[in-house]
Amino acid sequence: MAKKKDIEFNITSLDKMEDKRLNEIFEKVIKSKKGASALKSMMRSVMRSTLKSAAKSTLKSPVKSVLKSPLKSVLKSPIKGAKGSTKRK
Amino acid sequence: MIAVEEHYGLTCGQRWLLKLLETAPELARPVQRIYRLSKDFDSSAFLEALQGTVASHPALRLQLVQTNNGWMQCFPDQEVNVSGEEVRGRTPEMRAAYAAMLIAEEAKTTLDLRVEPPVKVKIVKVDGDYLLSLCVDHLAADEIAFDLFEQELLLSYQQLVSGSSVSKTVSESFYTYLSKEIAQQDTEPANLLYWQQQLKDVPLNKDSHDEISWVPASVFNYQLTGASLQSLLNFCQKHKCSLFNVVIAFQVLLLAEVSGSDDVVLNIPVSNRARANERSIIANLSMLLHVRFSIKTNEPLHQFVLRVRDQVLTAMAHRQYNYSSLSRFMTAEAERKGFNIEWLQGCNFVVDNGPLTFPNILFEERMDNIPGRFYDVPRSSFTVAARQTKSALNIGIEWDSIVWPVSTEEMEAKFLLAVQKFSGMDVESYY
Repeated sequence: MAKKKDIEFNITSLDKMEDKRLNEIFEKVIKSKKGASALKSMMRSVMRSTLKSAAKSTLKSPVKSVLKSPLKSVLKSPIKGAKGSTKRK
Repeated sequence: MIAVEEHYGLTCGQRWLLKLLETAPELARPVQRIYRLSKDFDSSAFLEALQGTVASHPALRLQLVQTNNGWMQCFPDQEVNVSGEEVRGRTPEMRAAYAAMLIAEEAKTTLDLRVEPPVKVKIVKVDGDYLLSLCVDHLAADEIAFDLFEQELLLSYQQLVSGSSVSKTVSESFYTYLSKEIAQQDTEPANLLYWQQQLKDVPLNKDSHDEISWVPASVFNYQLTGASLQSLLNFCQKHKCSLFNVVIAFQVLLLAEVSGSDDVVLNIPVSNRARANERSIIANLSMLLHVRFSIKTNEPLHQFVLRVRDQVLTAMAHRQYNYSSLSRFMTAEAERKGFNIEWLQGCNFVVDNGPLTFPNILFEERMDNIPGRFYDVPRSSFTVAARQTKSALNIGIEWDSIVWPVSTEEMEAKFLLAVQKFSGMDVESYY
């Protein structure tokens, strides 16, 4: 029986990227209103994943730190030096 | 048996879009829908469902060909461009930002349909989530076709994951439609004359610019259900009109009020799916009509709606015309007056009797139409997008609030007032 075709996922490791390049992308996404709202939507699922993994290891990872909004930290800089705002002009 | 390499002329709607591509390529980017896929996503079944759906619908394989007789189209067998990317490393915030950038990049450039397929798919895997960007060139699918594509993709996927096989029959309906349009081409000169008469001496914008600039959209969304919707339907029944007519009338009155003009042109795309077998065609059959409305002071509201209804019906009867010829006529009109044409006021109305429900076996949620998102619109645009389902009328209004100085709160007040008036509580004139 022929093997079914599948989608190949290329792996992009952000660890291998320069901070400068990542800062640029991050600023670009945050500054673009469309990007910021897409990011907000995506962060909801990241939050869910974070909460799920937190629930599995409640003792090791205090809920308090998990409940700090990832969105809040998104709006701050994830890498030193990046600035961004989602405030509408 | 139809030879897939055969060349076909472009439909009227496609000629309009090609004109748009030539004059304002930034408005001719592919239409994009973004989804978060189910946690149990089966990528192999998805790929098979996607390739099967594209193979069954010629327009999703559309290729543009330049010939001595101008642009033509053919529908060769071609695989969909599907790419997958998994984002790892750094923080969840960085991964989400990078994924957002990858998804946004997908719809940034126009597709070259001479060498690229009209369907472009990207799946981004990030933190255990699968995000899908589904882009389709507007020449290949209108909004109704995109809904049908989405539904068929889901159905095929559902069948494949449950172990059934999917039908691989090529739909003939689109070829039948193309033949019908070709047979009606002799009506185009008379229809063009109709549009030239309608749009002669139309008010043009002397402040408009040659290049399209983008501004943050002001957005107002509202859902009418239950008694509010029923009262509007009662108005329609009583006055023999449709919600489509009512929404257009509302927008015309609003534009007239804000601009202070009693002469309004509205871009109204029509679906061109009059026959039962045309309603399931996955292709772009829509055609743009520039309908010109006048406002008469003290005209009773129901009479205005009936005038809108009759005018839209007459415009629809003249929908088959050569857009390039009308565009040349309008450009000449504008040059004569030293102005530019900047018609970016539109009304898109879709009747959706089988809306997709989320989450389902394939799609967890659709992410590109979440209320509250921020985005840009072309300067001076004012668009009403309405979707009528069996139980609701969803209205989305987006506008450039610099050219149309109405706040979101004012828009809400105006909208609710209009609903009240159209609901028959007050059938006097709008003003």
